Amino acid sequence: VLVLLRSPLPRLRALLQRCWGWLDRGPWPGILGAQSPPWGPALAVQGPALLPRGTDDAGTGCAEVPSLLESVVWMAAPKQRRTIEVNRCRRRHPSKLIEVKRNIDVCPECGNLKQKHVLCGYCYAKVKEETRLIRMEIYRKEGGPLNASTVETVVLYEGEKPTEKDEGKRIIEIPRKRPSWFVQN
Amino acid sequence: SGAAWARGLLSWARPERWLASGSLFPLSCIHTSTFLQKIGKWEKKNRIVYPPQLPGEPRRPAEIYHCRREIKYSKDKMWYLAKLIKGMSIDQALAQLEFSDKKGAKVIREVLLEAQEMAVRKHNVEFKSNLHIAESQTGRGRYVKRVRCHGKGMFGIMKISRCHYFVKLVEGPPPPPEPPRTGFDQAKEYVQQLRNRTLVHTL
Repeated sequence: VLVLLRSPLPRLRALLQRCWGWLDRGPWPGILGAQSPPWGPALAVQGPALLPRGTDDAGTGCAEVPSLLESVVWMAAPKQRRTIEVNRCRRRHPSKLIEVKRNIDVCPECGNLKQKHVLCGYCYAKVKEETRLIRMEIYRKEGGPLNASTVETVVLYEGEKPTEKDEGKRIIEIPRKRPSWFVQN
Repeated sequence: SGAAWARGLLSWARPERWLASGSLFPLSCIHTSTFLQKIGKWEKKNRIVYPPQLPGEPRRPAEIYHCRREIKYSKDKMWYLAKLIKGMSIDQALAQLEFSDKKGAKVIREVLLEAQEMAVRKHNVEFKSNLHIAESQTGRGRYVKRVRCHGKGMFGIMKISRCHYFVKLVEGPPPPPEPPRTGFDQAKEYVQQLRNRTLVHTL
């Protein structure tokens, strides 16, 4: 619940005083006072022709659009407190409840749960970790930025020899056992 | 904060700090006991012990009560998750919570796993999958009011809300869901109510 409180700054106080002045005198009195008032009495009566402003301006109205500070009176606001029963009907409506997901399966590789249209999180993390280690090896071999090789790369683990197919390729050797899921071509 | 204050007081009051070294009192016998805040009612429900069952009675299913206090989450938002898993088996509940995007889902998942572990170790539950969620509720934790700064020197007071989460696991498969009430059921009930009427203050 947020409650706005006004701190007494002189700028804001002056603004508020001006607003109250406007509400008392009526909107835009300066402009109307400059021209001759259209609702002044037509008879030639001695004395002040101008009627006091306050009575006419409040009632017969001004064609001017009320400023934003006066239209505050016409803003939407709740009339009655919503009871807890009404609130509950709204908050517990079936459209607002969380739906039961029916697209959860078991990953055939690792046995963890996975969503049907998403990769298994555990297997993805495993592959990501292995890729990180391979990338570290590559970084160590390259020795600096802008040294990327122009030929293909082959990853060989412990005890593996390069075949004839890997003739012109860059070889990265990793001193670890090959993981079972990383199939060698 | 109460526990920290009490701990501070007790640590000041330890006699080993005042007595000179080489005193008679060995350090091992003095220990600062943590001043526990009031043990909640839900935690006490695990302590009830039933009398042993007679040979002919059906086996009473094991009940495990677990809760977590002062979770930094709103109780209304947590209620939706609690309503989701009410009445599910524990495996299904864990699956649903794993793929939920809400912050409270992770917390409830931890609570359920802890409760499952407790059930197997202490409450003599044979199969950890043979549990279902009988009750799952949220409660209001301690709220704290803080100032939130707006522009032009204005400020609002916001409340930082916390919640508790309570769960009761019962051994056995989950109960079958109730069939929805049809118009025929409602009509039958209405007719039964009419038939139950009697004449009062008469012979």
